[in-house]
Amino acid sequence: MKVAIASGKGGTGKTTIATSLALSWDEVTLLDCDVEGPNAHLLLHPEIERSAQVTVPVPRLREEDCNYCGACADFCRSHALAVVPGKWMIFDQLCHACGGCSLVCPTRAIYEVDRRIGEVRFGHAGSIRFVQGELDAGEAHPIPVIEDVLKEVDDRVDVIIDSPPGTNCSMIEVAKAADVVLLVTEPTPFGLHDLTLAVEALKGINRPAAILVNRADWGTGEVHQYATREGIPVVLEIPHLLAVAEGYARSRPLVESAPDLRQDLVALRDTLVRTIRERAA
Amino acid sequence: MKICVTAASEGINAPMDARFARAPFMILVDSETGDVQTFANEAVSAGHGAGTQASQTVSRLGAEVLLTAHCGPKAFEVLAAAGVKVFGIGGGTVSEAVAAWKAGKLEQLENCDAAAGWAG
Amino acid sequence: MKTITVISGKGGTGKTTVTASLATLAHNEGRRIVVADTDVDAANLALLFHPAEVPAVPFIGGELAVVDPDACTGCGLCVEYCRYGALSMVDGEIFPIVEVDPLKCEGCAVCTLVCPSQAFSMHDAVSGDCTLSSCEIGPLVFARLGVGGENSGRLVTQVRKVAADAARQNEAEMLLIDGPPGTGCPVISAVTGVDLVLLVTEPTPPGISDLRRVLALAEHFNIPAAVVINKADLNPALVVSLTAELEVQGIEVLGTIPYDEAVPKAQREGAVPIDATTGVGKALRHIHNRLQTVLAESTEVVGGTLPSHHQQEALA
Repeated sequence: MKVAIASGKGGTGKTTIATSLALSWDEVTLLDCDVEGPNAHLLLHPEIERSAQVTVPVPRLREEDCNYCGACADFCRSHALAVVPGKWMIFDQLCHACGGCSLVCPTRAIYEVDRRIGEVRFGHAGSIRFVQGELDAGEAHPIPVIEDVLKEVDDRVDVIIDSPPGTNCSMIEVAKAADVVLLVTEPTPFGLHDLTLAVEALKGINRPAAILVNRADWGTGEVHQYATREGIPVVLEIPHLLAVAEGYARSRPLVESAPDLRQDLVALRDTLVRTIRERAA
Repeated sequence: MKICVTAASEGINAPMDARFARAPFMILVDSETGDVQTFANEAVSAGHGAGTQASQTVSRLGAEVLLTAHCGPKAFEVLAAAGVKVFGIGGGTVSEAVAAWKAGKLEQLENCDAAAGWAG
Repeated sequence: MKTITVISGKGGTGKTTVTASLATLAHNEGRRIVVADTDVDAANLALLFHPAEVPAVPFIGGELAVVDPDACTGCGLCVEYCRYGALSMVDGEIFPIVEVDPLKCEGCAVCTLVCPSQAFSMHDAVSGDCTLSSCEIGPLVFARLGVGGENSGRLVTQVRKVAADAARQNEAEMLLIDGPPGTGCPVISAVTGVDLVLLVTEPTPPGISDLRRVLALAEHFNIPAAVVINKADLNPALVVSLTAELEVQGIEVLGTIPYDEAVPKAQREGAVPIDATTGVGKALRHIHNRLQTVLAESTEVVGGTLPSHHQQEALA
């Protein structure tokens, strides 16, 4: 089973839950796709065994073939190219790596080179197989890094995917790789508002969803009312526990700070499997 | 020679717009004939890369001098590559800016002075 | 006018609460301000300010490829060339034809180049909407990204543009921007060219790890930064070590805020937690005062080459 742990709002507890689920289930791969700020390693303390660069193709010029016609710059929707008399310039960080300039060049003067934008790291935390993607600081486009991490999905084991926060294409990309999306929310006005945005965003991709309410005693029953209206099961509620918050601040996972919750996380696996089955029916 | 001035509206008496890549208009003034042409700046609505787009426009218009107040790093790089000299002035009308340049009152920008992506 | 963007790297550290609180405190002192929410994925600022109902303005963020099913011959060449996986073959009336996935299309227009039958055209795509409204403390600008939106950076730029215009018209002295989480394109669009980036962090390893990433971003774009440490009681030792680490880099911690249920409680009431009798309220007021002092003192921006907007006006 592949579970994406997502939420509209940041800071609701995605990584906290994802890592503790990984610690509670057997035969798990955890993929950290929050590539603009991966944090799962700070709770799981994995041994990193190897890493691979994430690259995107960017254009370069064979000067002897260029007549400075500017067709490439005219075509480029990202305005990453500038052509002035006798000079051709590429601004790598604006480039979306579409390959259009090399296609449009009448003299075939443009070729591509790989440019690094991030890294994927592989390792283990105990028996948990751990994969983390990180976008280099200053880089604008996370999707290629996320895609490289998602290549590590394995149908033979449970895969838990820590998603980036938000409702944009990064989150959708991760959700598409999963069989079920577990939306972690908090019952505050911000939490509920962003939950509705996340649910709306997910409607386009037709994945079963389930809701986990974190810090459940810090709000009202509005999340439940919303979940009922939308037909999304609330599969677990966790109260605010200072020990968990303080543990998080000391790189201790939730199941260590609150061992009583482990059985709930173990049981959650069956609940999610049921959710997938019920939705398919 | 042709001088390009970033402007908030059209014509020689238009007020200057201080931001190079996002100014709505570029006024092209011929320093010898006094001929004035107004061009809409298409880079205004560009997402990222407004600077590279606007600089290429300036180069294609045949301007050798650009009068503007603030220019980002990418724009400056392209303008420098195109051999366009950039002089800093941020207020008054287009005609006043050209007069100030002719009188040698303006300082040439040696480097970009605005941060990338400044949305002003 | 000074423009400040509040970011955090990590989500949930309190950006929106801090932004709203600082804006309210400034307004209560009689300052003219404008507030903007650039977290276009999940805009929450309006939940604290209850703005007037105003129609949202659709925003065209880019282009999308559209295929003419009658012109498509099903050759599939475009599918090979699209680097974003936006094109796939689906059943047509007689033979398989191409379908564009609007969630994946980046508007690069390569398909228009390679299609031998000219079956593609590029159309403006509405990527979301932007609203200029008003609330008790002044103009409020916020936006909503369309589902699976790809061009959040451009929508952020639009919010900033509308907010800057409103600030000019209202002769505001401060534009406070609630920034998005992360470090990618939308954050970059939210911070470039501002007078100060205010980083809200928490004394946890993930919070500090993400803080370092956004600090690197601020440095890369040459923008001065200051820090607020929220939920400080979670790990006082980390507050101390972080403050020392930042001091070495010349970055000031404007203040620390205690971890208190008063914050979600105020949020449930649709209010900001600035009550002067609470620890949180006191902390926010201290941070506000310190921020205003820092802004007043900064005629020359520390570590940056961009003069304040005031100075720019004076230079022109």
